[in-house]
Amino acid sequence: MKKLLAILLAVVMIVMVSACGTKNNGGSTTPNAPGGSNTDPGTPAPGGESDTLTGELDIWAWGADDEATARKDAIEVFIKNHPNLKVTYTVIPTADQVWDQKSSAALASGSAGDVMQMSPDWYGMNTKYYIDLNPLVQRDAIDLDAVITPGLIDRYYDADGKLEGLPLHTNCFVIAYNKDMFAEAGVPEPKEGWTLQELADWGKAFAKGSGANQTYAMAKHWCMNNFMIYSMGGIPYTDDLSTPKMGTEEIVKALALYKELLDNGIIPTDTAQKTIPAQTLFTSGKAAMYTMGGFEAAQVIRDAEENGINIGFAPMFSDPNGKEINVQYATGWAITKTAKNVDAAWAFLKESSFANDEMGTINARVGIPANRKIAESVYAQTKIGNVGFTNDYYVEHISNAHMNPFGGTLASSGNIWTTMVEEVTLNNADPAAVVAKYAPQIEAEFASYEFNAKK
Amino acid sequence: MNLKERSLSLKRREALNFYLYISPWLLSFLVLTIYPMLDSFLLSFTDAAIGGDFNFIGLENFRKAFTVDPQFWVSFRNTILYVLMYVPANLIISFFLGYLLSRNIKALGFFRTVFYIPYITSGVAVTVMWGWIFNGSYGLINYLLSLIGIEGPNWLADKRYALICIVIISLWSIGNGIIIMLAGIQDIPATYYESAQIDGASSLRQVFSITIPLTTPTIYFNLVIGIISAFQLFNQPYILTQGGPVNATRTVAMVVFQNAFQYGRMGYASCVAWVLFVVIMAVTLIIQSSSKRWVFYDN
Repeated sequence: MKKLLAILLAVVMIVMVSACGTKNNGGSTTPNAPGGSNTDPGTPAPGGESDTLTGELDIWAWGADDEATARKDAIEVFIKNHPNLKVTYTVIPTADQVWDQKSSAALASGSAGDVMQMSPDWYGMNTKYYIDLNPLVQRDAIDLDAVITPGLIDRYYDADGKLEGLPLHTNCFVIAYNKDMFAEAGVPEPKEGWTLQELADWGKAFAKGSGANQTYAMAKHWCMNNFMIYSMGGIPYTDDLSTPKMGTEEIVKALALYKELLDNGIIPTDTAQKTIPAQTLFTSGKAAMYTMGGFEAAQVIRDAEENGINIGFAPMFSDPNGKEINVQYATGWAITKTAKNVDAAWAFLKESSFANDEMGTINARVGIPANRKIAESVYAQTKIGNVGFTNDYYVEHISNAHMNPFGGTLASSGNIWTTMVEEVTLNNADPAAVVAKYAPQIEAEFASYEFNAKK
Repeated sequence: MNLKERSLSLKRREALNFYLYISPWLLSFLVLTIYPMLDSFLLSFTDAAIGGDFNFIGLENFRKAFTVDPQFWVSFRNTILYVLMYVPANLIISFFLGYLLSRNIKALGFFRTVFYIPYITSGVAVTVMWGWIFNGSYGLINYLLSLIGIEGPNWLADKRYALICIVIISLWSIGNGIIIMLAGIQDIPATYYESAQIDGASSLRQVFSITIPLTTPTIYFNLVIGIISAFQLFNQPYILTQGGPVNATRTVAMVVFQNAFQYGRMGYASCVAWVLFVVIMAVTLIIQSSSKRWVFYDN
């Protein structure tokens, strides 16, 4: 009996191990298509394709909460419009390294979806697995600038001109400020063109108290390290990603400014920020300003209103040359080279991005939709709270926004930048010495990146 | 069948049964441990990313690790410092507490449970809790220090103290080591202590002349296990400091993780992992060869 059990156990283990090599459909769903065609008469049928799409389409995406819900709802609309197409939607409920690992492994093995969610701030991390969309754009004679929200599509072109994907939505930042705190401090409210250098001066008026009662001029958003790169007119690298620019005088000045802001209590330290989240610091009246992303505007404004904060809005700070400093976090779709149904995949990309207004309206729930018509109407006109704020702010300023500078492929350089910041702000190291020490390391990293190593 | 043939047949049957019964474990060991190890060893000589093609690059990864990558040496320095602080403290504290628990005191069961509970508590929850205790602005330690007029540092954001904090957090969860020490101490025959008492040896003398020498096998076990796990430190620095401040808590395991799963450099990550393996193996072999001099077995 024991022998039989041992043999059975060994067989089970062999079967389990061999099953690991098969395609994993865990987390996949085939959203239900309603019976019959219920195409919204207001939805344009791109090139008359809606009746001809057949076969299967496998879509992979990340995310949770509102974003995932909006994406699913939009896909349901697509399915409704293409009842003859069988759509499978796989969600990996995270957007960080777990998605990177799973998607990279699947792409490499050829078992990824036909359509993959992606972000242009990965800087070509998986670009070799995606098809170039330029021929499809030319075939369908699409003027992308006319149909896609300005400031979005450029990010999806690689340095060599390949169109890696189409945008879905994006978010950038605007300054939310506490009018009462400004009045009490006797400081004029921020206006367009204000700089962090100026903040280092008048921000001291807000730096009071200690411990739980300490107040600040501005909460330190998790994007602050990214903003600071541009704060004194510097840039992280050239547009073609070939040459890092982290060894310039502007970066030295940016580090010195960052230290000044922290030392004078104008912005909180990481320790203080970990204790009370940046958003809460603002909505509880402990910070006079907050860099409010579009993805959090509803929450911030609601909390501020509940706490009686008299909230105002202003453009993001600028560099000494007057150029606004803003960062966007974008999401899009790409078609894999292993896609078995390119026509359906292309139709999905177009409708998601710009060709289906119903899908665009759903996308507008979570950010500036790529659908220009919806972005400039439905999204821009959306009021949030009772404070006179509309999403128009974001639509106006998205063109000024840089991509997240050190995402995806460039993460190793981003970690070196984080170390540089810590050296100056925590170790009191000389900014010039820190730049001299670490800029060559960033140069070495850039030289090793695949898109540069092959040149 | 004669006796010899019957004996051989029996031995063959026993051998067959043996391999049959261990086959599930053996299969999983080969597939889930040996195969990945061999695969990573081969990857360490390539420029492999996650998936995709890779090229054989010889010892280039090792050259990069030893001569180019500053994080390689920083992480080894941090890891070795951690081992040197944590392992001796672990052994001393677990022996001391194990010895106390071996005494016949009241509420012994309660104390044994209390010391063991931190070991079975979720590591992540414990780490996050300690992050709050060490918080420079609102932490319990700085609050207590403020009561006696001392302004505590920003523990986890100060490169002088961050690694020490990690050591303290790790020492909080040494319940398993305590129980193993306790078992070793309780295994010492009482006759030794009785003889020593008759000869007039004090309690302290008994500890140094009887308890410690006869517990050396247990100490040896805890030492080797402690060193192996200490070299692979990852959770606490990853959760609390992400390797900062200024790489002060960046360990070798973190460098492996970052290169493998954040940068996608599987080849280089495999190289660093194998260097770590060789270092751990070398240290373990040194301790093993030295054990003949200081480990005493009762028989």
